[in-house]
Parts: sequence; C-alpha cells; structure tokens
Amino acid sequence: MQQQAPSGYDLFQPTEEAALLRQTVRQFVEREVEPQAARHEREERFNRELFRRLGELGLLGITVPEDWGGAGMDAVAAVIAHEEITASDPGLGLSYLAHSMLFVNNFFHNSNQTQREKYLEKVLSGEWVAGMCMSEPEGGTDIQAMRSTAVKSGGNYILNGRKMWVTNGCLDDHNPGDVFLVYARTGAKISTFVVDRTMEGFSLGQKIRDKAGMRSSPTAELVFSDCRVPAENLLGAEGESLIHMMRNLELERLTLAAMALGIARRCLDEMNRYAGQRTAFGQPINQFGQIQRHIGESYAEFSAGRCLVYDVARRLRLEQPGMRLETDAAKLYTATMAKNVADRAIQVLGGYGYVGEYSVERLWRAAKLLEIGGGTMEAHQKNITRDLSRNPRFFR
Amino acid sequence: MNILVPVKSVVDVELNIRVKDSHIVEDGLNYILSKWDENALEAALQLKEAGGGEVTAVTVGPARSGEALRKAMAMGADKGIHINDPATEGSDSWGYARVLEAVARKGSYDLIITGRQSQDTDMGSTGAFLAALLDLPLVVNVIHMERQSEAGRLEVHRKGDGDTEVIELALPALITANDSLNEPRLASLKGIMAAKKKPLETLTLADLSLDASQVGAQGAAIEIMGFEAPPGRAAGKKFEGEPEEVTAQVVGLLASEAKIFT
Ligand SMILES: Cc1cc2nc3c(=O)[nH]c(=O)nc-3n(C[C@H](O)[C@H](O)[C@H](O)COP(=O)(O)OP(=O)(O)OC[C@H]3O[C@@H](n4cnc5c(N)ncnc54)[C@H](O)[C@@H]3O)c2cc1C
Repeated sequence: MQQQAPSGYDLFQPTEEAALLRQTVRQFVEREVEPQAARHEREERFNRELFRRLGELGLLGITVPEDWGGAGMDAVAAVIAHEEITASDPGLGLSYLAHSMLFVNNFFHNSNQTQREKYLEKVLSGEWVAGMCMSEPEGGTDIQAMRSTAVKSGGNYILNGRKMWVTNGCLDDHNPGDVFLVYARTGAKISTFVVDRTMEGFSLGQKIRDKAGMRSSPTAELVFSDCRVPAENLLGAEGESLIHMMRNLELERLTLAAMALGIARRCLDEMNRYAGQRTAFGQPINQFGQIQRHIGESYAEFSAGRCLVYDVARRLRLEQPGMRLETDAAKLYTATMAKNVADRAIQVLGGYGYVGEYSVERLWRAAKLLEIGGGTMEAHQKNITRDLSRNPRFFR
Repeated sequence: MNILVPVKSVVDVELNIRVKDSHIVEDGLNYILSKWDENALEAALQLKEAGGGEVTAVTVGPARSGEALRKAMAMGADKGIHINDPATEGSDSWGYARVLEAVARKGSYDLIITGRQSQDTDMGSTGAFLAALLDLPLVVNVIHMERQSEAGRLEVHRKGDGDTEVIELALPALITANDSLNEPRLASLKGIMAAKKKPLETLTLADLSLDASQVGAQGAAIEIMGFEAPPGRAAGKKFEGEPEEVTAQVVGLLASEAKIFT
C-alpha cells in the first residue's frame, strides 16, 4: 500500500481500503439501491432481495474479523457504509444498522464459539434477518424499568414479555424476522438472549404501520409468551447485559450519526443542484441571499458534523469502550443537523420539495427518527452532562 | 488461461474538470479505474472462473495509479504490476504500448484484454499498438465472448458498422472490450481486504530494459498542444401557441437550422 504523507491524510478516507469501500458502496447504491428506494418507502415494504445483496457484498459482517467470515473492517468503514447507503435509502440504512451493528457486532463480541457456529454464517450471508429487542411498550429510555423476564427451568429459560419498536422485527405483514438479541430480566439484573424464529412461544405481535419515515425498514412488536430459549442461547453470563450494551452502544450511536451524515449530504446535494437550475425573477435562485443562507449554513453544519463523526470513528476501537461522551455528542449534533438541512432543502425546492419525486421530503421524514431512535436527544444530553460532570477536564 | 489486463487510472469525469492555461487543473481531482477497463477485467475474471488460470492487472502511472490496481485486485485479479517511473509521464498511446509490450514479454500470457478506449483521452489506440508490437491477432470492440471454445481458441463477437462479426481467434491474442460486453462486478468487502495481501510488483523502466527516451513526452509520436473546456450549451428554444403553428415552426427550424432532413 502506498504510504500517505501526513499532510495528505484524508479524514474521510484514511486508508486505501476506506477509499475503495466508499467507491464500491457508492457504485452499489447507484445501481441497486437508488432505483428502488422511493417505491419501497411508498409501499412500506422491506426489500428482502436487496438485503441479501448486502450479504453477498460482505456488508453485513463489516466489523466481524475475517477468520469468522466477516470483512474485518473498522469503525471508519462502518461509518462509510452507513453514510453511503442512507444517502439514498434511509430505511435500508436503518435495517442495515439494526442487523449488522445492533445484532451482528454485539453478538460477535459477546458470544462463545458454539453460538457463533450456530448463527454467524446465516446472518452474515443475509439468509437470516436479525435485530435487537430492548425497548418495550411501556418504556424505552428507562432501561431499568424493563418488564420482560426470563426464568431458568431445566435446560431452558422461559421468556415472557413484549418488545416494541423492533427494527427488522418482521419481514412483511405476517412473518417475524429470523433472529434477535433479546434483553430480559433475570431477577434484579438484565440478561441477553439469542432468540430465533424456530423457538416455541415467539411470535409477531404486529407490524407497526404508518411511521412518519424510514418506511422501507420494517418495525414490529414482538411477543414472547412462555418462549422456551435453550440455556446455551444465553449470551455471556446472567446479568451481563449492561456490559454488552456498553460495548456496543458507542458503535451504534456512531453509525446512527453516520446515517445523519448521509441524509444531510444528499439534501445538500439536491438543494445545491436545484438552486443553480431553478430561476425566479430572471435569475437562478442561488443568487438570492436567503437561499444562500440555507445552502451556506447547511454546508457549514454538515462539514462540522462530518469531521466530528469521522474523528470519533478514527479513534474508536471496536473491542474496547471509552468513547461514550464523543459518540453521544456525535449523534446528538448530527441528528438535529440532518433534520435542519433536510428542512432547508425542502424550503429551497419550494413546492417540488414537498413531493416525493425530489426525495428531500423522504429524507426529512427519516431524519426525525435519529432524534429518537437509539437514544433520544434528551438521553444524549443527560449522558453528556453526567460524563462531563465526572470529568471536568474533558479537553486535552 | 493466463490473462493480462492493462488498467488505467483516469480522472473521474463526474467531477468538474477545470482547464487553466491549456492544462487540466489537477488539484482536487478524483481518480478512478477507467470504465472500459472494468469490462476488460470482468471478461478476464469470467474466463478464469470458467477455465482456471490467472489474471494479472498492470498499470503505468504515478503512485496514485496504485489505487486502480488495488481496485482491480479487489474485484478479483490475482496480482498486480505497477510501472511507476517518472519518465513515463506524458506518454502517448504508443509510449504506453511500448511499456506494456515489455511487461507482456516478461510473462507468458494467452490473452491480453484492454478496454476499447480509456475514459480520459478516448483515443482507443493503446490496445491496437500493443497487439502490433507483440505481433498478436487483434479484435477490437468485443461485445460477446463464447466460453466453450476449444483450447487455444476463443470465439468473440465484435460490433462492426451495423453488423455483428463473429470471429474465432487463435491464442495468444489481444481483444479490446466494449462496455456492453458485460456488467462489471462490484468489489466485495472481502475482496477489498484480500487485495491488500495480493502480490503487487512495482517496476521501473530499467527493470523492463527500456530507455527513458522511448517513452514519456520524449518518445511520444504526438504532442498535445493544449486542452480547452467544451463550450457551454446554448440556451434551448421554447415554442408557444397553437399545436399546428408550433409544429410548423419546429419542422421549419429542424430543416433550416438543424438540417436534419438533408
Ligand atoms: C423506527 C424506530 C425504530 C426503532 N428500532 C428499535 C430497535 O431496533 N430496538 C429497540 O430496542 N428499540 C428501537 N426503537 C425504540 C427507540 O430506541 C425508543 O423509541 C427510544 O429509545 C425512546 O423510547 P420511548 O419511545 O419509549 O420513549 P420514552 O423513553 O418514553 O421517552 C419519551 C420522552 O421522554 C423523554 N425522557 C425519558 N426519560 C427522560 C429523562 N430521564 N430525562 C429527560 N427526558 C426523558 C424522552 O427523551 C422522550 O422525549 C425504535 C424506534 C423507532 C421509532
């Protein structure tokens, strides 16, 4: 590999692999993702075949080591993939994140050999669609209020409870997704279980319809009713969930922030192009100061967010936590940034921005989710303040 | 079958290219693998997958061209050869063909596949020059390849003027790929990671026993006098009125201005 001179360091493509990855995912998105994005969103339908293609390309195991059939790439690579896919189809980006980050990356780092042999191949190929079940109908942010329970009985755990808002929870109206990490209470503490669709007592409660955006990503309520989970499907030891969550949360937030970058970049691209072509009062609308403000501020905010996300990605180590403050900040800033940029894009496009053909209203609806899912803004604000109060000398 | 695929790193024409003082402004440009070379590579990979052998990608150019080679290996080429020598700068097709000739003679290849032209200069002559220098049978603009040909032969279809020519070639030979020959595969993530571990040989002109005077601007048979940005597009015409009147106006202008009926 050619050694880059330090002055030639590229934050967004720090290595040749990163540059090749971006090129490849972008090519894939142009050819196969963009042509189907608007339709699947409109029809509120998950594109199962396209998801398998993610597996064929190796995207579903992006952070899993090569020895285990993954691509063995780092956090920067995960950010690149999420940014590129989401710039075209945020719903697909969300389902990709739920599968490869919320399930695969978490599962890999906390599973044993037998568990990996049982599940890894199926989820890396895309034969199985996976997700993570934390939130419940009665509570999301307040994890400690979790009601689902798992009670050991012989060689099984008997799981009872309902999980809400599960991305990839269903494939269509009738079929649940294939495999999930499920958090449930074992006594006072919370434990993590791998539950797959073959297990008795596991069923699809309902497909959640009529989401504001991200409609090509299926969301479901899942029901566990005396669900018999073999004891060997307990991830790690009983009561270890908080450790699993801690390990994975940073990468989850970072890739959610990467999705925000994708949305903002696309919106900026759309408004910039449109403003150069559309004329009013005898000149292109990008000659008007108020339009310039929309574009100028969007570019500045997008650039700031992009530097933040890639800088955090560069420093994040997949195996060790330690970037909670930074990843909270990255998601908090970029989610609202993306929403504002999308909003300005609609404004710049006028009436055309308000209809589906020009994509920006779809991105705008998608952006709002990033202020809620994977931690609400309020949760990030709370975390940041807590971390800073413990470490007043946060600056180096 | 051992196949050599010369690939070129070219400026990404999707980005704005600026011309200043008759030179292309290199600052801020992005370089990609020339698209016809992706077709050439795809054809080579398909032949290898059907009948075994090895695919070698070769590029001539500065350090940054290494990325095109790495992409070729990420797509599936088994190894890469990078001719990185400042003396090759400013080469014309003839110069590149001479370097590639030396590379081809160092190895043993049953088939060489190039793109029908490169995406930057659109000359389309490197492949033909290379075939001439190596005294190989040549078919340009191949749109289809038969895979069941007997050993030592290859049946290809090429696009001629209006017709498709079906040609059987005795190997070794050289063909150039049209972009309708195939749909180039995407590099998989595993391919990208594997490419790092594939052999990449970097050579200079001296390693190929070539003299600097034979290549680069010195050895060039043509001289590029300058570049000009294409003229901006003239504004379109808008017709208003009753359909009959408008139709008559449009037909009139198509005849008198666009001259499409002569
Ligand atoms: C499309 C979509 C996909 C999702 N995918 C998944 C998934 O795959 N898996 C999964 O487990 N979950 C998923 N979620 C759930 C998501 O993570 C939760 O919605 C989120 O964590 C918020 O929880 P809640 O909806 O229960 O809201 P609540 O926690 O009830 O919050 C309601 C409001 O109160 C605020 N609030 C709560 N506590 C505090 C506090 N201490 N201080 C200040 N304000 C507070 C919140 O910020 C929010 O504004 C998804 C949600 C959506 C919409």
